[in-house]
Amino acid sequence: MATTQKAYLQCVRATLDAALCIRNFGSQTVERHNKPEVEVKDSKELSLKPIKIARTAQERVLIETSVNSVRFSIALKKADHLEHILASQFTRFLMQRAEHFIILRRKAVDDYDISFLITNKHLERMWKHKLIDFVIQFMEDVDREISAMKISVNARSRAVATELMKALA
Amino acid sequence: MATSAIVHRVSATISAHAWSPDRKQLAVCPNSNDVRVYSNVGSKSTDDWELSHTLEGHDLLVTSIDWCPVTGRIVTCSQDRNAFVWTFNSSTGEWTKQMVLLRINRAATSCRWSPNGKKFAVSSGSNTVCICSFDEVSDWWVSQAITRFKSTVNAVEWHPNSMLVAAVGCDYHCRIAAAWVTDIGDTPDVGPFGSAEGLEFGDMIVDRSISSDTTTAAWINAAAWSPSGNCLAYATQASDVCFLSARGGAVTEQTIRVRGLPALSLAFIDDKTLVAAGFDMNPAIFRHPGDGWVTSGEWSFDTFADKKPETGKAGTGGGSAFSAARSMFASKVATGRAAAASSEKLWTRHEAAIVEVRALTKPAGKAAGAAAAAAGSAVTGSFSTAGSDGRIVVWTM
Repeated sequence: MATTQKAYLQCVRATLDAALCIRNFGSQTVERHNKPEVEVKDSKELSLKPIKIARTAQERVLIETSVNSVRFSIALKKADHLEHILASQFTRFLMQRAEHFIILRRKAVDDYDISFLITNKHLERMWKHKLIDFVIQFMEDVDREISAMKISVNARSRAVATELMKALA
Repeated sequence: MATSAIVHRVSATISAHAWSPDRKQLAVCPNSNDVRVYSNVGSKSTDDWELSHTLEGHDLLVTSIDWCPVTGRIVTCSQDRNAFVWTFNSSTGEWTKQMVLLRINRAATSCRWSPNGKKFAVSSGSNTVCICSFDEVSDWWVSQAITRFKSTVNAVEWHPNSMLVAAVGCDYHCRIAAAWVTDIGDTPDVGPFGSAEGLEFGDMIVDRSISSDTTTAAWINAAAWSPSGNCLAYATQASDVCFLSARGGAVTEQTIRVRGLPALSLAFIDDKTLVAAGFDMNPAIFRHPGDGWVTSGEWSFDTFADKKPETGKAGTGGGSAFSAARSMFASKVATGRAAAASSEKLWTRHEAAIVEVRALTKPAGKAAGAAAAAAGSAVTGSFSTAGSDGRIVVWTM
């Protein structure tokens, strides 16, 4: 299990390294504007083919590249209903605080749980390899976090049920 | 091949740079609306550099700077749709700017003086390349537009004969267009591309397209002419470097797929050496085996200019599993956790994408050039790279 995750993250890392080749690019549709082309999608020649990397049917990432920005979306593992709720609550918590994460998008792309938008401005301010490290670290941590929450919710419900049964006995 | 490099940390980020003809001054855009002119840049220590002037006038990011080797003027262009020509007034010691009537309504992306210094070209996001010449009556620079581009033109480069421009851009085409301006007395000349008969300003002499149906098709980032004007190189976002060689009207094409990341800028050191630099943070050198007259043989990738220091390799290079395990343990002890997959510090001299590479010719002129040629096959040459990490590196081969 751990080994397949390593290969998956390695693949995501290599693809992100190749995708984050972005430059400053003035908008060619609106005068004196400079916007992330992956979001506005006005000119189809400025976006490259999106890349999807999937580990399982649920766990997958989508990397959309354009001339001056990259959008990176993650779909998390949701084995059961509880994980589904936990994932949505957790990503919602993060996205409400998107400004602290700089590259986090406030709304996830359809079919994905959480999205990042990396523009040329970010790469000018931050090291590219550190940025990729952050994203990979995030992917590792979010799974661990949700598993830990699931365990604590289960433990708590077991304790509550035990207490309830004791009271009824 | 021995390469030495001097690293200058100039600002936080750089978007363009240009050297004065005597290489004693350097114009740098620190990713802002202004251009800084440094003097005493021959010094190896960046602390000795003096900020002699700041050229203020643009209201958005300056995308390109070019310093004319003939007239000593500077042309700058910006995303605010304007270009300015700056002339140094030696009596006041200031740079004065002249307006350019570009008549474009999108960002200007790159500007280059023609080798004879009479004209300059500006490529733009409004799908045009403007060829600008001076109008003495009105005392401003007027432009004539080359149209027929279908998307932003990323780069424009002059043929050494000052009559042709190569323009590459986001429409996946590499075009060579006629850029003679009859008003200033240009005579049509298409160099090695056959006959100029019947051609007018703005006509396309060569139009090569990267077929857009392949999965690897992507826009073109940069172009460069060889000093003889017989070869045009261009680099695509799909990490291809393509060479168009022309001889007596016949054009041959060669494409090299590079293993690394795409290049953002190209420069010929001489007719047999090309430097490509970009997202790899490491300039790649391409060579051609033929001499100036024989065009047989093909271009090939030679080497990266920046070599990984041997000390870094020693730990794993020994080949012993024990030393690898030991170094892993050492790093775990040092950081308190498993070592990250990527190293903490990059070994390359640039730590972000290289935005521009420029060939540096010897300022002494003909005598030095002849001496270098007499020295024989030993490749000499230097070039400078500017990175978005705010560094300027001067490389000497």
